[in-house]
Amino acid sequence: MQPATANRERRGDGPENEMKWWGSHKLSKNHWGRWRIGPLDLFAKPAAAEWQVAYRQLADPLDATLEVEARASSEPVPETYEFSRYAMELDGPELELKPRLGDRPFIVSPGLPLYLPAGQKVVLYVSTVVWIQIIVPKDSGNVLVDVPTIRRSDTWFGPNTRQGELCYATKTNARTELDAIEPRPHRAVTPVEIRNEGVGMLPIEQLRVPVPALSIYADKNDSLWTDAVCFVREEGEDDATITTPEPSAHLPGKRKLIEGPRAPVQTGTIVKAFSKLLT
Amino acid sequence: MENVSDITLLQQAMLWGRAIVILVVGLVVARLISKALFRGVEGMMGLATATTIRRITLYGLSTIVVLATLHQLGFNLGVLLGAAGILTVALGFASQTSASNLVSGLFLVFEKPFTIGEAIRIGTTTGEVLSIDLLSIKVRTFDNLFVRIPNESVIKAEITNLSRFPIRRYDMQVGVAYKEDLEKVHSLLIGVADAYDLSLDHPRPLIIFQGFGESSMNLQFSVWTTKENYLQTRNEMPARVKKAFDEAGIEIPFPHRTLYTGAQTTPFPIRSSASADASGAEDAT
Repeated sequence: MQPATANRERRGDGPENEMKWWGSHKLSKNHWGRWRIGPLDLFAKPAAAEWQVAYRQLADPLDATLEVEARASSEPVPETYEFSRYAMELDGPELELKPRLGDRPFIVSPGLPLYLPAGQKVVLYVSTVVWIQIIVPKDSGNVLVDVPTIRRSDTWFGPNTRQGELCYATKTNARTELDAIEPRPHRAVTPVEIRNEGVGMLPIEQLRVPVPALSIYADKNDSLWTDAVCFVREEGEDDATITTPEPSAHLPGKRKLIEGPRAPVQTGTIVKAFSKLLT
Repeated sequence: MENVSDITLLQQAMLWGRAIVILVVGLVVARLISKALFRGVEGMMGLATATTIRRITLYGLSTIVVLATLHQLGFNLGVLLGAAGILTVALGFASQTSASNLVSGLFLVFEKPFTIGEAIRIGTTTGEVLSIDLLSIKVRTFDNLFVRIPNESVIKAEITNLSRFPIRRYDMQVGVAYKEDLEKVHSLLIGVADAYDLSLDHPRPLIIFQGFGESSMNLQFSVWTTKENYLQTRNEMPARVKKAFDEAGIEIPFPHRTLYTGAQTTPFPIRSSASADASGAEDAT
């Protein structure tokens, strides 16, 4: 992670606040506040009877920069930033930032081929980018902007080109050790437990992580986590049962719920969790 | 005598009264039944089919009510139906086109090649389906014109439904110069697709070699996108490919023409003179 800038706002003294950017932020009227959260550069300005928001997404998905400036040292320029204005009475120059998980499932492809022999189980730690919501006034649920920290490529997940669902594509190293995960302010880690109770080797080419159905948490270091997901492969070829394992399974013990799921699903449903590549 | 005529008048009035009651009540009941049927089947069979069923029910029941009213008034239905039969034959000859459209409309409703709101292409018309009626379908073209297409033409024509499936493939024809390395072009095109957000990661983009053309090696570059993003992809992808080719120094050739005078002939004489060049330059300015 790059060092924080000199004018970075710190909320707390310990290193545990190093990764925190969400929560309430007090700005100055007619001045831009700025947040650089990984590849997302976000500005917001309270004016007399409106809020102005500007953002741009940079290209590097591994960018782990975190900067928070209550009074920005630079201004967004219309050529490179997306601008929007929201007419509303200004109760106070205060806004709330909140991380949310994606609005569509992520299709995760391990960088290297991964196989799970019959009777084995594995826990993979995969991370997906988060969306950032600006809420004004704070705690009102009035979402001005809901923007991904980086735009992911669309992908199709289904048995053919007629049936399936639109998802986001992402590549992952699919770490099997928790310590090997690099903390990044714009990504949330999902522990995915896979159990191969079928016959024969299970190639894990693509994995569907249903992030809209998961809650988001922060651990004591303010790293972001989601609920764990468990896929059990039965005798069938591709079908898996998605279940929510024990609440504490594979997650840090001390964690705080930030937000519930966007679209809850019933557990125990059969989903196409593993996929062969479409031809 | 006065009493007899009074009784006859009263009977006539009652007859007419009953007939009117049958007519009014019958039509109201027919309307209610058809509406109830519409509500019952709308969820299962869709709006267009339910509308057709409602109309058929309403017209059928209304005919029965009118016949019952006429019967009540003392008309001989046998004669009436005979006359109606002759009339139907005459009308049938007179309205062959309408009848054909009507039957085609029924087939169209039950076959469901498209539904209201979908984008279709029939012949030279491309647009959004506004309604599917008994005689014709109504289409709004993308330049906002209202087009009525008779059902008979729709049944006979080849219909392309642009909205049926959620994803579409955009095929782009690309020509590269003969001096270029096809493997390099291949990886460059795949890289362009992967870097473009709207191009789907899966199904994978596809490159098909189309042949050695007159001036270029021709390739088909196919990328998948959602039907909502199709137009944007179609507009943006060629620009991205052109930019990537320009940056990598890959030539998209113009048509080349080589003038050959034959092996036995002498080459074309070319004369160059400084004065001619200078005068040409002056002319050009």
